[in-house]
Amino acid sequence: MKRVFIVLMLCGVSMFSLNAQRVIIEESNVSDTLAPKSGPNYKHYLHPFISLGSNVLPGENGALTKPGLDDFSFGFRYKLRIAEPLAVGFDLAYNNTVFRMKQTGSKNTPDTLLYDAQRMEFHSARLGAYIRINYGRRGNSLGKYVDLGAYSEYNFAHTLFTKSTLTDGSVIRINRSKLDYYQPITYGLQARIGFNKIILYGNYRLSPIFFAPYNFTELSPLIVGIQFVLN
Amino acid sequence: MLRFEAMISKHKFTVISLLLLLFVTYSLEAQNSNETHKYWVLFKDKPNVNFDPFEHFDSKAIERRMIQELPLYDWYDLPVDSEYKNEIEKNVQEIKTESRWLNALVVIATQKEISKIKEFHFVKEINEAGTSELLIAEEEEPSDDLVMLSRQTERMGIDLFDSLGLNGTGMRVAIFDVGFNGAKTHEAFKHIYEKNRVKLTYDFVKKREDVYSGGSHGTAVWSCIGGRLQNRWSGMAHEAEFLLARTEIGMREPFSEEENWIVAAEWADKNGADIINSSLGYTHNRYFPTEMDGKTSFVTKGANIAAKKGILVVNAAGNEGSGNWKLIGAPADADSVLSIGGVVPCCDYKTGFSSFGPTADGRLKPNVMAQGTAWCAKPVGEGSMDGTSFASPLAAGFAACAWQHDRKLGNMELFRKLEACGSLYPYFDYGHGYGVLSAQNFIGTDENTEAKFEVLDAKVDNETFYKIVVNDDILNAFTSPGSILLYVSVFNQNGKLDSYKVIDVSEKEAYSFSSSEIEPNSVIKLFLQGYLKEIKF
Repeated sequence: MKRVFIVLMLCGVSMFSLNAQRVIIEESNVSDTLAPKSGPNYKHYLHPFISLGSNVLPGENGALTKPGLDDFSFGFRYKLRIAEPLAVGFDLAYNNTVFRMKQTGSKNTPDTLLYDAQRMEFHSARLGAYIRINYGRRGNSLGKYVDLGAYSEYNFAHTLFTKSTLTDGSVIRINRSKLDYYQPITYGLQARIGFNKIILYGNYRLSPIFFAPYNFTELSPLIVGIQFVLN
Repeated sequence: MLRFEAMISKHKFTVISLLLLLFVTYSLEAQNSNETHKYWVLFKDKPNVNFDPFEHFDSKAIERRMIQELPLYDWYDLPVDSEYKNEIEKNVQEIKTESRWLNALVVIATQKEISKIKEFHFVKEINEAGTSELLIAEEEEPSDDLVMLSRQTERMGIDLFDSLGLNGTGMRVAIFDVGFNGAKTHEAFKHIYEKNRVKLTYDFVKKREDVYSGGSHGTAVWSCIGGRLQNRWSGMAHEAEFLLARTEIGMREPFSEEENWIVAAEWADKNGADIINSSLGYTHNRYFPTEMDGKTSFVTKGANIAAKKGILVVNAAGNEGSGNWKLIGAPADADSVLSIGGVVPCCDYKTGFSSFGPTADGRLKPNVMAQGTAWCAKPVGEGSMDGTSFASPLAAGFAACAWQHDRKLGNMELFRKLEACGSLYPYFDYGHGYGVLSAQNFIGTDENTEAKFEVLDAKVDNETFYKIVVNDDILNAFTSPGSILLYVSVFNQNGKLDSYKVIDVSEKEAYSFSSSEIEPNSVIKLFLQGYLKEIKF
């Protein structure tokens, strides 16, 4: 009976103590010393990234306004190291691309009407595959590298924004979606130059954005920008 | 589609140029045999060299060797063979620097030139000399609380050292850093310049004597060794002599070159340094954690040779504790380098950023701790700064005073004594080493090892429950969270430290656990205010 009492007391005190205890630092050296298999220069590496880019070409017949922040992506990139200078991988990302249409008399995409402003926005899921060549000696870091590869996008949503000012001065903004003139799937080539966590990238679309029967002006196939590895 | 093709056709040249230009130029640049890179060229031997130690070394360097009963010189001190040097010089673009210790030249050369000199019979090895990250945290905290200034030295016992006249007199400390902007005219160093105690300066980046540009990090670091701020000593070795070396490129360009560190260490040795303080570390840009083994990196090899010369090398553990790397960087991985972690200003537990040990081969690091947030001199004025960069010079100042106390100690004897005067000694873990340096412990005036807690246990069936109960007098001294800390570590059956924790004690029942949580044949060590208790399972 006495032993049970002591145990109950200790257990009770223990529970109380656990509440009272404030563990400031707790470290396990066992897990710390296991040889890692993943990391920037280990066999596997998965990291998130964001990218910001611009349509650097004006499009057919100068259809687009000056480049701005036209392309945004957020996704994850996987790298499989084959050898010190060679790796392959893929990335999966949400992508948002905007084309700002220049409002001139020759405009025909997606209509011939002129507005104060008009832009086409594509939301897509992008899957890319690449081969990576690294240069220079490095430790567990991404180092200096060049990626070459291809990508395909599934354009799951598209919106057309227009802004007009009427003669009475009122402004009308219209958002239209569920339009059917764009290709749901596009594809292209991608190239990147990386300096550790900062990457300059170029995506070049090989396929048209619009279905042929619409006879629309083709928009800039080249996006150039900067990516940041988030890790 | 036709329009698309037409547009492709129209922009073909532009597009292909843009896309391929990036790749092709980059590739060509990297592979072009005319592209120059920096390399270490290591030689096999030193066959035809003459050396006079009395001509080469400063008298302080001779004195250090004699006190420690070291040979006046050895193979490492001999210069690189001039015939080898001449032969290499004819076949490379430029010789950047040379290292006696590593018997090597750092050269700028093309791949083709390197291929040629690789065949020379006297060339042992060639390695690309890349760049590495400088591990200096410079997070500034707005604070005008000068309690910090007092505490950074008082917690280590500056009053005791000063009362014994231990203030670095006669010791020579070399500081390797990014630059010492503003130091020459700063009030913090007036007492040093007035007595002409800056013996030499050299900028190894720009190959000139002026070290007062390039960055102010060194100014802050120096003030933590021997500065004076607000009429208080901000470092303990305020009467020491100093050698100031700029070895790093800068805070804003966080890349540096290991060769500068090694050549600066040779310079410090030649000019009689007793202690080297360096607040830098090389990690993921060049190395893997598995290479933090005390023998792989160039800078670690250099630091170990410096220690062989009788110099105490004090290095910041690093600021990667909360980062992906997490571990100490080179050269803090060297077994002969006293690696310094940082504790928070209020209490004796590590700051989040202070890097963890152990080394890749399982040796204890960091060795000891000092305050990781310090009140420092800035190019104009003063302020609070964070980083093991500042813990390291605080410890270097302490070490100078400790060595002054017993000049007959060899550098590694001093190293062991410094570990033994840590606030946790003989307890240790890989976050705190042996704890914060303590003058009381070093001088031997603090022998209070009375029991501070008792361990109660009760057994039920096959399980034993343990409870750590702190003495009333300990608990009565509670002032604020963090003021009473219980350190707990678990050693496995092979005697290796598996896990550890620090508990903030605010209740009489400080900690409890049961035997089911512990692997058989393990040992739990419990430490509280000088009292160590082991429980074997």
